[in-house]
Amino acid sequence: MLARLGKGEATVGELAQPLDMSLPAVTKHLKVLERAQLISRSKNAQWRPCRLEEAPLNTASGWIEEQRKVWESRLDRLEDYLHGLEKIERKKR
Amino acid sequence: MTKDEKDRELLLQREVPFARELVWKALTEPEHQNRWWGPDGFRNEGVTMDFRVGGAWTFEMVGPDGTRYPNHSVFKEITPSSRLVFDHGDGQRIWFESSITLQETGSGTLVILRHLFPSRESRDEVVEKYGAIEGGKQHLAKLEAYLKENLS
Repeated sequence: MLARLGKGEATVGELAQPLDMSLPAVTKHLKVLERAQLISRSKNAQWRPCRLEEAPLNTASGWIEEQRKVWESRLDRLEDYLHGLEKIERKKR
Repeated sequence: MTKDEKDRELLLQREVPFARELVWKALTEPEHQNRWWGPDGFRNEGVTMDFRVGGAWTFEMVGPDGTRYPNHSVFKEITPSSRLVFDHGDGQRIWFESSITLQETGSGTLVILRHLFPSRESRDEVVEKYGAIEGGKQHLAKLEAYLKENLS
């Protein structure tokens, strides 16, 4: 599905056709992909075509914004890790 | 900060409820740093850290599909438990200067992160040359998270 979207926008019907999947099954998959921010779907058109989500990394502000997201989630993981590390360090004392 | 620096920097801060020495340890010791660096689905391999001013810190980020992304930084300032400054790049060139400052607060530590491109020109060059690579990396991380959520 993602490979097909890599070639450009597609409707649910176009995505389902080569996969031998029912439309509801494809729609369900698309919802998960949309939640994972891998794709986006047009809100206006009747057929709501899907496209691969790409960050605007070709602009400086877009790139810096993506780096901010990278570091926000890195700090999330650091905090999680520190919880465990603090317990280990306490035991040592 | 001068006005000119604003559009070539990333400034981020977060207070964490942990002692400053502990944050410093997790940040500067490879055995700890490897455990949270990420992104999800990525691991660091071949880490070398020559922890002194002028020393290099190198590793390869390996993506879920096996793609390797070289990281090469050189330390410029090391003030234990308080400030770490390094030039960050990929070994070919420097992308930006990264500084991490740790400040004690009443209830923990304030982590202040700053990335600063040396000039607008170098910022645009890095964005143009590496933007797509970084984008690919993040796309892979999202895909990995998606697969984990749905197939495990």
